[in-house]
Amino acid sequence: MSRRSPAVLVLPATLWLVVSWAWPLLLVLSMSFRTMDQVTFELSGFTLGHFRQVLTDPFYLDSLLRSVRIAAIVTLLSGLLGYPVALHIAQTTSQRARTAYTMILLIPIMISLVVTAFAWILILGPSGFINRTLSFLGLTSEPVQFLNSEAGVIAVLVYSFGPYMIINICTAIDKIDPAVIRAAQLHGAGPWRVFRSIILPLSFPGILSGGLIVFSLSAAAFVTPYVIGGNRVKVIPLQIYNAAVTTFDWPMAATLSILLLVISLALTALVGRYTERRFAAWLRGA
Amino acid sequence: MKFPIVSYLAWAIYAAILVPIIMVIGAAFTETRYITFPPVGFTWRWYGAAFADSSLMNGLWLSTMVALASVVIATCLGTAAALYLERPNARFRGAFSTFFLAPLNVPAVMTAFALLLAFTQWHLINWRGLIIAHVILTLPYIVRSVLVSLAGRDGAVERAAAILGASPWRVFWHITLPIIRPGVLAGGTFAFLISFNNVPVSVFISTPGSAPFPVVLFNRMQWLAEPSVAAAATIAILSTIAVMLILERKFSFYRSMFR
Repeated sequence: MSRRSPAVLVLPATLWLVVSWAWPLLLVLSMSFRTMDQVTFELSGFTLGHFRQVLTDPFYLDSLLRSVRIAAIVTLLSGLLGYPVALHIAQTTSQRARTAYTMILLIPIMISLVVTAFAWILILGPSGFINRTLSFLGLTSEPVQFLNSEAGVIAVLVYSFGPYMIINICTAIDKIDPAVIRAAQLHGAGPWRVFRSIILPLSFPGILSGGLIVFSLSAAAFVTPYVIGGNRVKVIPLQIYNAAVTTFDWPMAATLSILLLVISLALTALVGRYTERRFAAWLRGA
Repeated sequence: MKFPIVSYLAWAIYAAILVPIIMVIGAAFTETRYITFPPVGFTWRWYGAAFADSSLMNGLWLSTMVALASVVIATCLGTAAALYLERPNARFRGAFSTFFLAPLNVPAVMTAFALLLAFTQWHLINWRGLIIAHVILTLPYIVRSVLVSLAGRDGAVERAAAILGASPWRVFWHITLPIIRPGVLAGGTFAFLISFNNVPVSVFISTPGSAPFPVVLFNRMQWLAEPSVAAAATIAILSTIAVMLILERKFSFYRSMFR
């Protein structure tokens, strides 16, 4: 191949993304400053009104708070439930077994969100598996409402996105030099001490990068809240969907999209910075 | 370092991941008209109903075609872009890499809404629009996968060919491409699954007449689903797992994810 880098190679992909993706994103940005006539759908003027409304109207603030709360709980639960799994895969030496475990973890990622939601309706529904077990055991007389509730949405989001956390933590644990662990053991550290003082701190970058992915995906999810929450658990992405395809309030959908983007970009920047600083502090023993 | 209790916790999670999948597969066999698990009786009837359901089958056909077309396009675009990005002296290398991976970092709803806005103007709310959109979504995975296999190759053969007078195109076609073929194919197959199972973006830019398979299921969820939906979901699950196994067998794809 020639030594000069032929820029012609990046051109097709760049053009494709610029025309069919970046340009539409700019349309969203401009849409968020326009006023739309609810009858004729004509756009006019320039206004900051939608942003003001989103940031002051309790209806939208409520959704924003709910989105952040759900994403935070999902991230936390993914970390707590996922850590033992990551540790398990990391301590498995047989390559075949590792592959099998990984394949299991990837099922929720690869399978369509709709199929996942459908599966969980079978479990959480009023005549679903859990409710029938509860009433069979005589614990409840009325079916418990898991669907149309935040708890149900959280459970399914953990199922769908938790594996990202596990994979990230596992990668971080794999990178730990076994010599460090052996050294600690030779000096008499028990398993708990090794975990607390070596494995947990050294896998911290994995927890953070996994957490970032899980948080961003959960905060941006609308399929799961729509199907499991029955359109009743109002989160920002659901408001965007409803404004875009049900009420045709496109300027509002645009404004909420920008808000979501800003949140996820801010978080990425924050976590990136925090990782390095906090991690360095932890390594020094702070 | 072994932590015995960790195995029990991990096995509980593996079970929790598999149980819902098994329930869907099982629920498709119930003899009742409503969906339930464990199934009552055993019948293949709902598979017959699913295959006779024209909107499900049209969706399945559309999804397959859209996934194939977008993967072919994205593989061509992505491989070319990766060939550029892998050069350490490429101009704006960092900026381009960030740009090609950006569709993964922008919230999917936002991409979806942006495409709805643009495609409405451009009259692309149809299968063409779906293909264009899925190329955007799959491109990052292909670029990454091809970059990984480019990084792992030995450049000496290519240099030898070039010194012996082979044209850049000839070097690519006879040497580089055969070497990176597993990476290209793995990226493409993975991208196929991403496209085939996508809901968030497809749901914004499809109409009832042109809804891909997962979107048909999404629309059905709004009413109480009958067991034929479970049969359709089972088809989606089993084909996805089959493709995952092929990926693993042929390219050790998932094993490489941890490195």
